[in-house]
Amino acid sequence: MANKTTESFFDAPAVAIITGASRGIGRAIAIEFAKRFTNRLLLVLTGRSEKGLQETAAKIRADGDQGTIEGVIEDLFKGIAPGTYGHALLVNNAASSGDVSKYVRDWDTTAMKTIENYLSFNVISPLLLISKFLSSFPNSKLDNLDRNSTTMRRTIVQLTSMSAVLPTECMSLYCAGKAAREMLHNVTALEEPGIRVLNYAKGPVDTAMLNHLKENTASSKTTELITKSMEIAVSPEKTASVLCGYLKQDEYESGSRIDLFDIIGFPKSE
Amino acid sequence: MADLKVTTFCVVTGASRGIGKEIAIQLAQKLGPNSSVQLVARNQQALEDTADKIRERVDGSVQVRCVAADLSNVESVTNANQEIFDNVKDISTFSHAILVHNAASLGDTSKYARELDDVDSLQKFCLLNMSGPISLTSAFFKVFGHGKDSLRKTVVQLTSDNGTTPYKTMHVYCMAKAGRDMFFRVMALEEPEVRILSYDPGAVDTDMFKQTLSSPDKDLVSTVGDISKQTYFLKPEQSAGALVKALEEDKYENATVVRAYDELGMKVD
Repeated sequence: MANKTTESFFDAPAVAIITGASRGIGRAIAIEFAKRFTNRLLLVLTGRSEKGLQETAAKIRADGDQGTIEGVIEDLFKGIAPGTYGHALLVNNAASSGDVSKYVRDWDTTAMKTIENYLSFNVISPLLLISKFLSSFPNSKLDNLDRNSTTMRRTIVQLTSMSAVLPTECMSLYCAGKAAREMLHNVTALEEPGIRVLNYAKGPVDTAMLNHLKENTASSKTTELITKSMEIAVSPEKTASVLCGYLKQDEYESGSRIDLFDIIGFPKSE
Repeated sequence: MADLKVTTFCVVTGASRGIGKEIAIQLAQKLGPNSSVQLVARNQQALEDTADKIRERVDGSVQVRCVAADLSNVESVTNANQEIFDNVKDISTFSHAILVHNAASLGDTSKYARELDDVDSLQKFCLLNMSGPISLTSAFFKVFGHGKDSLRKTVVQLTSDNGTTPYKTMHVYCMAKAGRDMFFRVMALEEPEVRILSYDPGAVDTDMFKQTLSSPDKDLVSTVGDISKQTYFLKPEQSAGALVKALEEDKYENATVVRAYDELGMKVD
């Protein structure tokens, strides 16, 4: 159901937390948000590379969007006064591919720690962020926790992929992680009727991860799949832009999933 | 039809009570002479009870071992994953190897997702429900994966409709089932010779079922309360029996959810 307010999606003073913003899609989304938000915007960017984050910030400032950005901080949720924003957004984008160079039967004996770390980063972190986000930006101001009040807009976007629904050889952790994340966001959507939750399947995107998958996978079937994906891959900027257009329309059912190609149509083969 | 009456190496996690206990007891009775059954859970005493019940019912040549381990503790799990296979000196003595991932937990159903902040308990949850079973599966294939073609391998994982349908306050449980279901779908692709049974045991009268009543979500509690009065509220032995039947019939599609209700011919949505 659409959350039709008189204000357009990008018009309220907003705070947006974006994970994995040091490169790729996360960076592209940060830049796109900076372009589209018309009022005050506080971008809170996280990522593993400090340098990458600084570059993202620099690109945003260089594009002349300085006026709308209050700051770029790495300490999430610190010093954010929720009452001063009309819209809070969380973009759960950060993800890793896991070791695609081996079939499960060939994992070495130290796999336990690797699996734990993988799920920590790809599943538990997004979960904790959702929890922190929801408790930091409660539905209505201060004490009155009326869950159905529309005082502040809240949007959670989860970057997912076909891998959440298409099992792929040598990508067991990636697929399992994506499936788990989507379900987590589905439950969140159910529990929080006042929040807009979207599972955005980004499509094949021309990033370091896609290249890494192609170079390292042990499965020839997966190599074939990735090669086909690369032929129709879009730029991070493109998928970020499509996402924003879709968010702006605000017509999706909360908790649903949408794929890039559902929105822009599947590319026709030459 | 699959012939279960062969020399089998079998592992059942969470075999100390509930569905796991029944699965272990019923499955063990179907296995052939010189089989070896590994029972894994935290409670040593309860495991011994399961082991005793099995020994009363099987041929003296069937060996039953108890591996007590806290499956939500990293060190325990790492040790257990090795200890479980300690007895396997020569895989050619077995015709079949079965791994049953039954151990699970619900997570904190007394909270909504927005209230979850205990990192430690979330990590323990992931270990018990996801990373532990995943790494045990890998260890299983390391030991039996490269045997000659005649060594059959079966992996059973207990799932739930929570793997496909979200429920309020069942956040991490739904999340883990969805993740596991997908993990085993990838396994089915990677190991086409292995039988993978994703088994939905139905609504079963166990401690875990009772725990859902602690949810603050009134709808969930009333649904759960309702279920407990229905004829399709199963006893652990019924659900376990249906699982064994599915294994014997051997008609299931790998990693595609098989429901106890369908095996039992019960019409339940």
